Amino acid sequence: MKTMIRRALFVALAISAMALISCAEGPTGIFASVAAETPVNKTMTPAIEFASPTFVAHLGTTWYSGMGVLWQKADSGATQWTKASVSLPGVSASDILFADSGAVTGSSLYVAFSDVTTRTSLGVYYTTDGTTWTHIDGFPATTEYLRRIMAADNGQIFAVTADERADSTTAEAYSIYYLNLGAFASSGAAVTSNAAIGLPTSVAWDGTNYIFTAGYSLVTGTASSLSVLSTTPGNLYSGVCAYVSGQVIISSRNGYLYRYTGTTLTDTAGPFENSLGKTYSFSAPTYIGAAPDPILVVGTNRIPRSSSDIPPAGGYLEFDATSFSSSMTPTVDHGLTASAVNFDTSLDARSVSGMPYFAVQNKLFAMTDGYGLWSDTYSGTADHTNGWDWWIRE
Amino acid sequence: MRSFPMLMLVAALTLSVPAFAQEAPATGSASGTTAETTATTAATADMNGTPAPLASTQYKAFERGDGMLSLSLGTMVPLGFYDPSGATFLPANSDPGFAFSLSYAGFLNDKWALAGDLSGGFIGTVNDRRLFVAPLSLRAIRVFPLGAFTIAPTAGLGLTITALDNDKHVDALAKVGSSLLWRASTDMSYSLNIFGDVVPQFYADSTQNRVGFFMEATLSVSYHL
Repeated sequence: MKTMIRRALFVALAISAMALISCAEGPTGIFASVAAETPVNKTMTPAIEFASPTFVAHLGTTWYSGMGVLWQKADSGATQWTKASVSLPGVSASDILFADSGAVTGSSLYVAFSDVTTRTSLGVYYTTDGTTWTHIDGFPATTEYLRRIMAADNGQIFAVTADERADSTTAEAYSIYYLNLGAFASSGAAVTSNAAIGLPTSVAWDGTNYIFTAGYSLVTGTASSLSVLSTTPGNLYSGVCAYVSGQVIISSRNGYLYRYTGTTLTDTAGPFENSLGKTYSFSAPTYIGAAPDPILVVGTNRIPRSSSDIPPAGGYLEFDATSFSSSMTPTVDHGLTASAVNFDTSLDARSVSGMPYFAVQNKLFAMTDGYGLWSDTYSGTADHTNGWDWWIRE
Repeated sequence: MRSFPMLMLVAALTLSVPAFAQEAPATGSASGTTAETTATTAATADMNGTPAPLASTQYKAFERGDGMLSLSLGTMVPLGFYDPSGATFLPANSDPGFAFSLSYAGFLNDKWALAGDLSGGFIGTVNDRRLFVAPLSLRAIRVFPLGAFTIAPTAGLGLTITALDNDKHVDALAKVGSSLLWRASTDMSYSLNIFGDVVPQFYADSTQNRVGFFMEATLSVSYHL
């Protein structure tokens, strides 16, 4: 009996040691990582800890975000988000209203609301003070469903609708509208009930034209006259952001980044993969041209590419965007906007649906899928990496 | 007449048997019995009611070949980390966690034992990450019996497996501490254990080297084999 126990103990010890002695080292020591942790949840709003934000906007002195219902937070002094008191004309006050998408242009916040109680889309409302909301009448048409609204870098608001279908076997046809003098107007025949493009997900302004990512297509042109770009490689595009003047950066669901100069996709970088060789699916990229260095960040998401292809979630990738080239590589330690330990304790392995940046307060947000809203502020102080204050959970 | 010496020998042996029996060590149990902790065997009366002379023997709480199998539960307290590159002591940045262990101690003699531990501890960091620390050690134990209690200071060496998120590492371990055992029955003991673990963690990138300090405070139930 005793001999057996002794043998069992020694065998267990030997097996445990042999099984783990060959583990590969990570970039950060385990104890070093724990010792270097800074609290990321200290000012967190518990109610939105596991929210999935759909947009963040800044109006006046207040932040707004769609996390189910509309939430708000003062941009100075406040740490906690609170539910915005939204009272829409013609809608029962007891109904639960979801803020599906939103954007700010000028001094107005535009939000696409849906009534969860009655399961109806309410259309687009806008407010200038966060209290009084006005409906944009006559939109969308009764044969269309509002999918989302979005704003380009210059503040131009667009809305995307899908045509009503007889059944699910019919291809979905999309239309793009632009906000013109308080009403939505068609952006042209090429983007009206177009079943050849995918759902437009993102828009950027290159100084002359708007560029939309729409599934395997790119759509470009002026607000009132958009057309489908025919010179693209037909990748599955996911998002676009403005780069230097006249250029935009486009991301794809297949781990690629492109630089578009107005006529062609000049540079192709990627595909970018995780350490296991699995290709990332990118969300819309964000270019931050502010000091100290131009930075490009792009979230990775777990939206399935097919029933058997679920991409890995790796938080976000960051690049030194001083110059965009096909050979550029992301930082290993996320040292441009954070630190390796801060990244490990915040967004590592998370699905990030978007990373909007607001120059008004030098604040970069990360909207995750089910892991809340995060922010990283560039304060310029030397406390942290490159003047960034590192990620904290909102 | 030739049988007289033999008769006297037989008589002497007969008279001495009770005395031998009293002096016989309590070998029935390898671990000894608490009920026999008295230093003398019970006095018996002879056939005439005259008390037999008492014979003393040295009771030993533990003997060579004794063994204890222990299951421990308690808490693992991270004390901090030492950064050799900066010669600074860093805060633990984590909260006390859960600790468990399975140990076997085999006695070499009545004073010394060797023990092997399979231990583990889960610690939550300030950002709710889970640090797993598994000290696997071989310890020398010196026992000091005090009636039903035993104080058992110990020191040992071993390996520590640590894991955080997807990272794992195996490091050396130095362990010191002490146990206070209470012998509840012939088979069972309960003990309070306080151990300190020192885990030097080395990496190819020497800037990541740290020495971890942990304290284990556990309660054990031990079965005497």
